[in-house]
Amino acid sequence: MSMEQELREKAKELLSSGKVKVVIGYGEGSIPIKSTPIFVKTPEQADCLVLNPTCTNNLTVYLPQAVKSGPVAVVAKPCEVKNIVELVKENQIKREDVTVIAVSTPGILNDAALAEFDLLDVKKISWKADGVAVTTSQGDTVIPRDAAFQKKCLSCTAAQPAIADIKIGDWAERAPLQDKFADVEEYEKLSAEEKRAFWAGQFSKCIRCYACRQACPGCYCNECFVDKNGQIWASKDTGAESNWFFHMTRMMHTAGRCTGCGECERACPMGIPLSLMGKKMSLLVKELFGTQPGESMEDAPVFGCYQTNDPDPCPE
Amino acid sequence: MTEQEERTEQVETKENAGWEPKLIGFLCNWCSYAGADLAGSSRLKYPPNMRVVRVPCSGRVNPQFVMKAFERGFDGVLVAGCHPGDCHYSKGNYYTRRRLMLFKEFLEFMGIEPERFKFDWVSAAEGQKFAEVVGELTESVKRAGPFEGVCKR
Repeated sequence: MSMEQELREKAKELLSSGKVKVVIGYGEGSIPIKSTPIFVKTPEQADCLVLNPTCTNNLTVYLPQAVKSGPVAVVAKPCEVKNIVELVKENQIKREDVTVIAVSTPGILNDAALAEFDLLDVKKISWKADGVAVTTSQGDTVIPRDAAFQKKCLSCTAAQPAIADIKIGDWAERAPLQDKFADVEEYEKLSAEEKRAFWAGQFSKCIRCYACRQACPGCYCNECFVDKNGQIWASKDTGAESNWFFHMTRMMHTAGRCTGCGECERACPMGIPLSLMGKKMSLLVKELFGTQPGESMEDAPVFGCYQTNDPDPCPE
Repeated sequence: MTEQEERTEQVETKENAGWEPKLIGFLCNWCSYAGADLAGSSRLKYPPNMRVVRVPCSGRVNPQFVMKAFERGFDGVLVAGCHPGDCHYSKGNYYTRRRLMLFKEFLEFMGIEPERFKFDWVSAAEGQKFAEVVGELTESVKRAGPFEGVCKR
């Protein structure tokens, strides 16, 4: 049975037994190069669920709203299960309200890999043993893994999830194909001045569409600090400095809950390398406080607790 | 280097020579602000470059305060509070310690020299330490030079 069929079967069981009211998963998009988030409410609709290399959205972003109308099942990849862990720990959702369908896929397609294809001619995108097969009217083309998958997937180890009710796919631990932090190391070779020049270039591109924030499961505030009209901390203009302020604050707010799902960077229409900051944050949190977002249900949220022997600015 | 550029550089160095850094300090009401007061009433000498903002607790210091200061062009920022274990509100400084230790490293990652941000503990009895801390920060910011903004153009 393929992963897709298995997923449909499980979704049907969950819905017909009444265990959940809705299954959040992926459905076919308007064209075969895209899939779209769907909310499956009846067992019959479960046949609309798909699982293929285009299933990129982080569906856990819907959870805090979705659980308000009853128990939910959600399809989550390894990095996204960590988001659920964080949401539960931060009391945004209750563990018993969410059924985690953890799916370990070979990897998710990087949009840039399709650059050479006529996108309207692509009929199907599917996994093959050594990469991703793109079917067009000319036949199949296999893109090798290195080129086909997103960066986060190339460095994924598919480690055992901290929580999972249903597991689909191959959960055997795998050797990462790439070093996750290679780009952080490369960036850190820059001098302070070059770093600021780098971000000046990046942040002057930002149009403040807030797609990064909307796509992020860690950004669940009812009212974001940039939308507040009482205390205006962040200016709404799109100058590089204001954008710096916005992104810096967002990074501090998601520190310790950013699991590196990479959705902010993927959602960004201007191509700002936002996950560079997120990755550094996760390295720092690990180094200073010894925890990793989403890896265990026991760790308290990073800024919601303290230790008397935490790193100190001037140790005695 | 053209003659024009050379002259500009000379002028700039000359300007830098008389340049004094502009610093902002967030001091907790119960310890560091009282420490600053003690430094003053003990007639200790320390550089006059810092503007003080009194906060109820170092736990009140949101990293946004520091970001805003840099965004608006301050050359250096100090955050000072009670020593760990001595917080007037028992644990405010423990929370701020976590937040700011991370933030300090992150600022460095974003290209803001670590010389520009100081986070330290000053008790109400440490007037001398307060003077030293302000002196050290002023010196290190002078070494780093005028701040060119959070995004260098």
